[in-house]
Parts: sequence; structure tokens; C-alpha cells
Amino acid sequence: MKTTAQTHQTTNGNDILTSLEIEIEELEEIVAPKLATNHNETFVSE
Amino acid sequence: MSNPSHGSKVREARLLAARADALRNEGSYNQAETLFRQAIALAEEVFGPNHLEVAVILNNLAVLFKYTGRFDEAESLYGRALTITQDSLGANHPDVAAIYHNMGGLEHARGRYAAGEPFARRAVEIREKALGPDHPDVAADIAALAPILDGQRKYDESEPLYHRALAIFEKAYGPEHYEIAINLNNLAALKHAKGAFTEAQSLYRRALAIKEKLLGSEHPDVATTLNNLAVLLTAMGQREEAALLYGRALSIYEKIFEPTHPKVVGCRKNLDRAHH
Repeated sequence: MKTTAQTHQTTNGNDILTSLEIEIEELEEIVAPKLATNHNETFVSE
Repeated sequence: MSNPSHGSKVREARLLAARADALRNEGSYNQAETLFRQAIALAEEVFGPNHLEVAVILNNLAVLFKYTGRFDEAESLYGRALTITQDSLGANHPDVAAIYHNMGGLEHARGRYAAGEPFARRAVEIREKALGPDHPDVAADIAALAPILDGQRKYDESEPLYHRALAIFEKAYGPEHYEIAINLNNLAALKHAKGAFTEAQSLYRRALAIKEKLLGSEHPDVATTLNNLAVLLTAMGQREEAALLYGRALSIYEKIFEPTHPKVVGCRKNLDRAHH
């Protein structure tokens, strides 16, 4: 994830946030795959 | 903060695995295999070869191999997935049970029912203890055990298992779910084996209606119930409809599977016998 923050110090010594950059798509979480289970289907023969 | 290229590879591996699962579920097995292999290579690169996420994708590719009749390859992947999962989570974790469930299913597909039974029973035992008797995952394990028992003609034990699984699935998912269709098909086959032809026919037709609605008319699971219903109709002397259903089933199977796949071979044999 990319985040960039820039601050600017004012004359009274407080920091103020002047810019913030976040790559939003980086925030999207993709869920980890889950274990699949198979199905045992009866196949009938003559 | 994580390395961006690492993060993007993790996302890509997970996307590939998710797409592969979806393709397998819709019966697009060749495309699914390609994506599974890409997902495994990427997951091994970013997580290492013995990570749980690698084990999940190995298991999920093995499920595909079971469906496509590549049983030895499935067995090898299940073995690797089981070792990783047991080492990471312990022998009694529900994820270990899921792999036992699948190993039982592989033996079912091979026709080695007695060999599959201990795996299937272990899956039920672990997940019942972990999740309680009415959990849908436990129902899935019970539903997987029942046809393994049918293969050994243990119908007195299997029939109540179908009813128990169906009750849990209907409560959890409603009356028109894939799990219910599979169970109706299997219960129908049991009824046929016990000579209850009318009941079997009704159950097959219910299974078929749900499958066609959920999966479309060209899915291999639809073909399985078409084949089974055709066997029943042949036994009931309704050869004309049976021949039509065999034709449909074989046409679906031949589009998806290799000519040597057990279901292609079995369906063709059934059709030949019905003609004589």
C-alpha cells in the first residue's frame, strides 16, 4: 500500500497536513481462497 | 508496510485462484486448470511452498482432477495439501477434515469404496466435534459418506444420512440448492437400488430440475442425473425416453471430458446395453 503524507509546520509549532496520497486500489483486500470440498455423486450403471 | 510487488503478487495469486474455482464450478475444467497452475506458482513464490494458502489451491486443483478423472494427480496434490494443513493447524482442525472429505471422494470416484470410508468417517468426526451436528459443513461430510456406503450396499446406514443432510441443507439454503440436488440424485439412486422405482423417478426429476435451473442444461452434473434417470427408465421399460436421455448425457460428457473418462465410458456402455 502506498501512502504519502506531507506536513507543514506553522509559526506556532503545530504541524498541519497539507497533502495525503493513497493508492485506493491498494486498499482493496482480496479474500484468500477457501478449501473446496468435492461432491460424491452416484453414477449408476446398467 | 509491505513490499508493493509482494502485495500485488498476493492479490494476483488470490484472484487467479478465485477465478479458477469459479471456472471449475461451471464445468470449464481446462481453463480452470491453467489458472490454478498459475495461482500455485505465484502463491509458492510469495508465501513459500509450505504455506496454508498454497495448500488450499493444491486441494482445489485436486478437486478438479477428481472430476476430470485424473485420480493419481489428485491423490498426490491432496497428500501435499494434507501435510501442510496438518503441520500448520493440527490434526483435528476442520480444514484437515475438508481434505479428508475430499480424499474419501477421490476413492469414491475410483470405485474404491471401502478405502474411502475411513477418510469420510474421519471428516464427519472432526467437523461434528468442531462445528456441532447441525452445521452445513457437517451435512456435506455426511452427504459425502452416504454414497461411499451405498457403493458397499450399506443402504440401512446411508439412507438416514441422506435425510439428515437434506434436512440441514433445506434449513440452511432453502429447497433449490446445489447440495440438495446432489443429495436427491444420490437418494434416488439408493431408491432405485432398493427397487422403489416410482420414488426414485420422482427424486431424479426433482434433482434434474434444480440442476438445470442452477447450472444450465449443459453442465456435467446434469448429465449424471440424465444418465441415472435413463438407467431407471430402462429398468421400467420406458426405453424411448431413456434413449433420448442417454443421448443428451453422452453429448454433454463428450464435450467436456476425454473419451477415456469413466463417465463417458460408463454412459456409452449404458446406452449400448439399453439398445440390446
